[in-house]
Amino acid sequence: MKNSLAAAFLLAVLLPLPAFTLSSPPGPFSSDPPKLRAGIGLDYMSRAIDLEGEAQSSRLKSRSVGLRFDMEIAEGFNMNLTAGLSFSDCGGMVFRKLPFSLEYQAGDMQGVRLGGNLAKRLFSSGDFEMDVWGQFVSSIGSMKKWKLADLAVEGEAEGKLTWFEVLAGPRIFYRGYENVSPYLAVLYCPLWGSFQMDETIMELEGTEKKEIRGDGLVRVSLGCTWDIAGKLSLRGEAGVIPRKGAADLGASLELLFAF
Amino acid sequence: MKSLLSKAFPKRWRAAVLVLILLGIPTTGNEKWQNKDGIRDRPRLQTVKAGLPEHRIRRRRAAPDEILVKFRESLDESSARATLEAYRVRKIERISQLGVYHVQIPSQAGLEETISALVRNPDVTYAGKNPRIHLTASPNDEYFWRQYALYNSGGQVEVPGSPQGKARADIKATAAWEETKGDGGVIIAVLDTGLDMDHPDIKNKVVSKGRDFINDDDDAADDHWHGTHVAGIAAAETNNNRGIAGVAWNCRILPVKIIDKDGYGYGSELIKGITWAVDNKANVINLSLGTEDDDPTIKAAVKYAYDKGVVVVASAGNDGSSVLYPAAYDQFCLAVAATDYLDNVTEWSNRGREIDVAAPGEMILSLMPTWYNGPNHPPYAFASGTSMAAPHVAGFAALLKSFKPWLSVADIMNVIRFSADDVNSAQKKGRDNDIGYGRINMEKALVPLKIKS
Repeated sequence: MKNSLAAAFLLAVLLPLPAFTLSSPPGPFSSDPPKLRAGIGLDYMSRAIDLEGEAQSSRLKSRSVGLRFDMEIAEGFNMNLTAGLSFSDCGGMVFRKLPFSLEYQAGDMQGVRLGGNLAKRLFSSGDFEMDVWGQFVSSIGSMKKWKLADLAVEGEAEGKLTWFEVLAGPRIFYRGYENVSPYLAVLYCPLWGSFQMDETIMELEGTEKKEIRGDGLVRVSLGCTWDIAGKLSLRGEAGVIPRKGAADLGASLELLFAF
Repeated sequence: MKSLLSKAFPKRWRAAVLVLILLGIPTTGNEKWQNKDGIRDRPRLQTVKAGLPEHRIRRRRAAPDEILVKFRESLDESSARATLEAYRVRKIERISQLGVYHVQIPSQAGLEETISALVRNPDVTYAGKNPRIHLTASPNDEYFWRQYALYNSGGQVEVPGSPQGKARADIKATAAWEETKGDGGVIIAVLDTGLDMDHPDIKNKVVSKGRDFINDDDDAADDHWHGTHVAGIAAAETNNNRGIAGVAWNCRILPVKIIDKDGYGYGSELIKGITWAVDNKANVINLSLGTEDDDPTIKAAVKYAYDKGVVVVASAGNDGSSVLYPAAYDQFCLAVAATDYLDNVTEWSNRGREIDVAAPGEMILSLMPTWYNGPNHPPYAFASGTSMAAPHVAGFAALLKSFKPWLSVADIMNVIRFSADDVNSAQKKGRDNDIGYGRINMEKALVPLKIKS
């Protein structure tokens, strides 16, 4: 339900944009935009996660590195695609439905990060410009096997972690500086996925799949784009996701070269 | 009854099961534990009355020279300290958030006297001992510290002069209890000599008066001692400030009497007892008994339990020979050997490829019927035998069944087997005929295993 709501929210925000923005004057940032840019990006995320139907909670930490491709597909309408590697850690997650309960403390699981984002300028007023931005990220294919030590016989566990995250909402840029544009974003940020653990110890077998949900749904971010020199630009962003009694973190860094 | 039996069962079969034997025999307490002569024939037991003086069996409940004091709120700190210093205290520590003073008194000053004097002071609103805190999963049962099988501190096993145990040569009960203490809905049927249902350390854990197949009534009272001792190991009332702790902290006992007051029974009673227990919602059956003869009807009864989702645990036997039946029905039953306080297999524990696991069986403290030791002695005793080892495993199975009710009988049996510690690996690595997969380890089976890269 949350997944479909998130997807619907993303579509509702982004699909009507071209029509809406026709009446908006072009902003300074997009006066002569590069048609195609490519580069690399780094992302970090640390989020508390709820486990469906369980009292326990855990934490998903992810670091990723990937290639980025950015293109303007219409006036003021940019699309960015990313593909790379993700390193995700659900440390402390406990699987008690297996014949032998297991607690995951094995650190990062490597997977593939695929995703993309869309940004559409809405309007500008003076030195301020507002756009709406939506991003979908997936970490898939994380799979790892471990020997179960200290048992009387040989045993093995295999974990499979998959997660998805949507970030969507408005960003307000300040365009008063020459090459630097700081911005503030308030983003809807649902996260969901699953962590499946299979256990095989001789003829003893078990499988437990945990549905995971990010705790906290709104991320407040501060970011900045910097046109370093000529065709090279840098974007950095850091955000917090407030939740009951605490806050989670997310950050990204992106270096793009324009063609 | 015997004539009925002779019609119902072949003569050879009756002769075989006639030697259903109980696997532990109590002594009067006058024998020294060091005397191992004949231990293969008569496993030793030493009664509590012989060796547990009152001053030794009570655990310390509070710090011997410390008190906690609280003054009325209007009294300032300097006045409070001056009041305490008047008692020549050695150390004063103020817990400012609560206005409580942690005070150490001189060793020569009496704890009770100091508290009494402070209580009489009108400025003092509270003065009392500094209570000793323990982990919640360490039960407060009076003799728990003598149950090396559950937590072996490496101290003396029994009475002064008895051997030292090896630290942590135990079934790791305290760690496992942090994860689960069991469910009151999980029932361990003890098919034995019955149960003293008036025993204060188990009477609240009994499902019903059970069934007596010896006297053909619905009151499985114990007229021997063995069944009460075995049931206590599996599920004595735990954390009740008295006696011992049972392995299955919260699980309950269903007594079924199939052995007479002399310690013998027939296969017919065993079969009827098993099927009755299964049909009366037992989840685990403990059989601290056995016969040398393989018999298809006993095997069928054990299979009946297995097929109905009931875990059957049986003792291997005490004469150092091959594994008794029904323990030897390997597919449907866990066969349990006995280890001691050093994690060594006992010399009298039976051996064979059917052995699944071992559990402590030497000098195990548990309940005795209240009438057994006489009115002036606590109703507890040490006993030895694979009879005492099996209920450790039965209690363990009950905890597993409580914690993971979705597991099949085969799964529970395998978890118990595979979580065992191969404590004789220096001599016999891997599964062997002495202790099977090893001495049971409840912590490994119940507390999550850490997956590390």
